[in-house]
Order: sequence, then C-alpha cells, then structure tokens
Amino acid sequence: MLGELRGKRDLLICDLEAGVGTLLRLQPDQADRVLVVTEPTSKSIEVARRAASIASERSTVTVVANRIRSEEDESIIKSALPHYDLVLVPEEPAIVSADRQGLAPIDVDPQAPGVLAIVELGRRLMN
Amino acid sequence: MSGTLIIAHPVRSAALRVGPVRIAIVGKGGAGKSVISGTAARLLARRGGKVLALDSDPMPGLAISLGLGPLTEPFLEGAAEQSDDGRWRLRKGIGAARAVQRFAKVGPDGVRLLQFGKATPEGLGPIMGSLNAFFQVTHRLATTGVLREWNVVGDLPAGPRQAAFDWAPYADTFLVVVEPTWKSILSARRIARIATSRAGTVALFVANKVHGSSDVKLIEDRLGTAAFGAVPADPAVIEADRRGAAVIDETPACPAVTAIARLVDQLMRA
Repeated sequence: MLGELRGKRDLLICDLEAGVGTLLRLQPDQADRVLVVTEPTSKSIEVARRAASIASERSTVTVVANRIRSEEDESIIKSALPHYDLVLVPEEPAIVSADRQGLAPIDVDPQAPGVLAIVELGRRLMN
Repeated sequence: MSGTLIIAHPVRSAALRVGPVRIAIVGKGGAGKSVISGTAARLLARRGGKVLALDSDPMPGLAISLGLGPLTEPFLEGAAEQSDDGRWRLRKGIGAARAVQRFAKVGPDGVRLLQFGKATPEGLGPIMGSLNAFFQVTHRLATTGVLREWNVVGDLPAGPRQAAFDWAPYADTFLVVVEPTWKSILSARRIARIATSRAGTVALFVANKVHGSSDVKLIEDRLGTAAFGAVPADPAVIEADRRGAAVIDETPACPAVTAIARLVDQLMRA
C-alpha cells in the first residue's frame, strides 16, 4: 500500500506497530525517513538499536528520544545510538494527561515543552 | 464455542486453585506486560512452585524483568531440525520436558526461562529453528506429565496477534494489562475478546500504572467490568527499567511489587 501511495500525497505518515515486524517488510523506496521512537530504558534502547539498524538499510533514520528527564537520560541515548540523527522530547505531563482523556496533546496544551518539541520535529521533516 | 470473557472480582472465590497457575500476559505496547510477567514468575517461585517463564516476544524484555539481564540468544536452536521438505520439528528424543531441562536458563528464585530469541536485522529467518521448537514445546506443555504441576507464565508481544494464532495454548487465563488511557483500554478490550475465543479461557484485567482508585474506576467504567487487580504507578519500576534490572531485585518492597504479590496470591486462589 505504501508503494501505491507514493507520489500521490504531499505527506504520508505511517504509525507502525510495536517491534520490527512491519519495519522488516518496508521496501527501500517506500519511506523518505523512518522515525525510531525510544525511551531511556534498557529494553526500549535495545529495541531501538535493532529497529534503527534495520531501518537504516531501507531509509534515513531519525531517533526520537521520548520521555527525557535529565542530561543523564540524554547521554544514555546518545551513547547507545551514537550514529543517528537525534531529536529529544522531554517527559511531558501534558501528553500523559491528554492520553488519559483520549485527546490530542496538541489540543490540550499546544505550548507544553513536549508538544513543542514534536512540533519542531514536524517542521524539520517538512524542510 | 468460545471462551469466557470475564472477569473475576478479587474476592470472587476463596477456594484453592486445583492446578498450577498457567497464565499468558497480554496488552498494548508499553502497558507493563514484561514487568508483571517477570515479577509474578519470581513470586510464584518464592511460594514454592516450579515456574516456567515463556518469552514469546521477538523484542527484548522478559529476561531483564526476571533479573537475568538482556539475553537475546535463541535458546532452542539445538532443539530443532529441518526435514527434507523444509519443515522444522523438534529433534528426536526432545519433548517439552527435555527442552525445559536442557535449554531453559535458570534465573533467580529458580525460575526457568525459555525464549525463541530476538528479531535480527535479517528478521526472524536466522532464528526460525528456535522459534518453531518454542512453538511446539508450548503446545506440548499441557500433556507432558512431569510438567503438569509447573506454573507457566507467558509474556506475549504487544497486540492480539499471538493470542489469535494460539501461541499460548498452555494458558487457561489471560492477564490483560491495561493503563488508564483510552488507547490502552480500547486495545485491552479487543485483545481480551480475541484471546478468549479459545474455549475454556478467561481474561482478567489488571489495571497498571494507576494513580489511585479514580484511575481504576476510569478503567473499569470504560471496560464495563471490574478489574481483577491493580498495580500502582511506581517510580521504582521506572528506575529499574532505566537500569535494565528487575524491580523485584532493586526495590523488593516497593508498591508495585507488593501489588503484583497480591495478584499472584489471587491467582493461586482463583
């Protein structure tokens, strides 16, 4: 389906399932960029390492480090995934709150730092 | 004929469970399945039972939560052989009991862990022998005499797929881990319905990462049924996860471990 849609839309964002199952079926020309979302936990980083390795054979990779609470968290991610473009998203209570309410974080608090970090990521992707 | 989607209240029964605890843990990604699986397996072992923990997630998780560290190798590679027609089968002389005896890793509290391995950059191809052996072992557990009294705790990957394709035939109970978010609750309902399509199974919802009784009520209202148990949001779990350690080793008396211990006691009585 991704192959058929390519070139027919200005922008296509595809939210893949957890793990690397779908990613392994991605063809090299189907995505301009793969965002690998991770957290500063050993399980999440291990998954991200595998996902980034698989994705880098098929596309350009940006690692999105989510729920970052400190410089220590930042350095954990940087040392575990040193060779990738990196975007940091801080731990954000507004996103947690929006999730609980079943609402979009950008509607709940568009100025929250975590939301702004994602907005900035969007701008980077568009440029 | 379908199984029963229900959902026992914690005080439903005071009668002792006749057999061992045989559960599969399911839920949306990030719900806390591995932490609950690993901790419950350790606590079951501390209550005197033999425990087999089964990690059928191709992504890392359960070994860490059991306290074994980040094991990724395909444990059952040596248990499988490929026939001329390309099909994988268990090697001659290897059944479920021998597979557990020979290939399971022994973890803290004597818990035995079997895993088929983790996805590689080439996908599951390189671990296909271990994966097939794992699947076949899980299907023989119920009929293997010497394992009949073992408790079994299976940690399934996110989503309903493995439950739908009978990756947990050993389980009479699916613990559906659910967070107090709409996405998690909607996923939990769907996963529970699919998991209990096999006759003789029940789904019990475990509210995880809750901040007080209002979160439990929110989950119960949206599920339309009572939760079997609740595990609080606990910084100790987050810290252990960040360090790649088992929370039961790092902070054994923390609220989350205490709540999982209550869950285990309920399961032993359920």
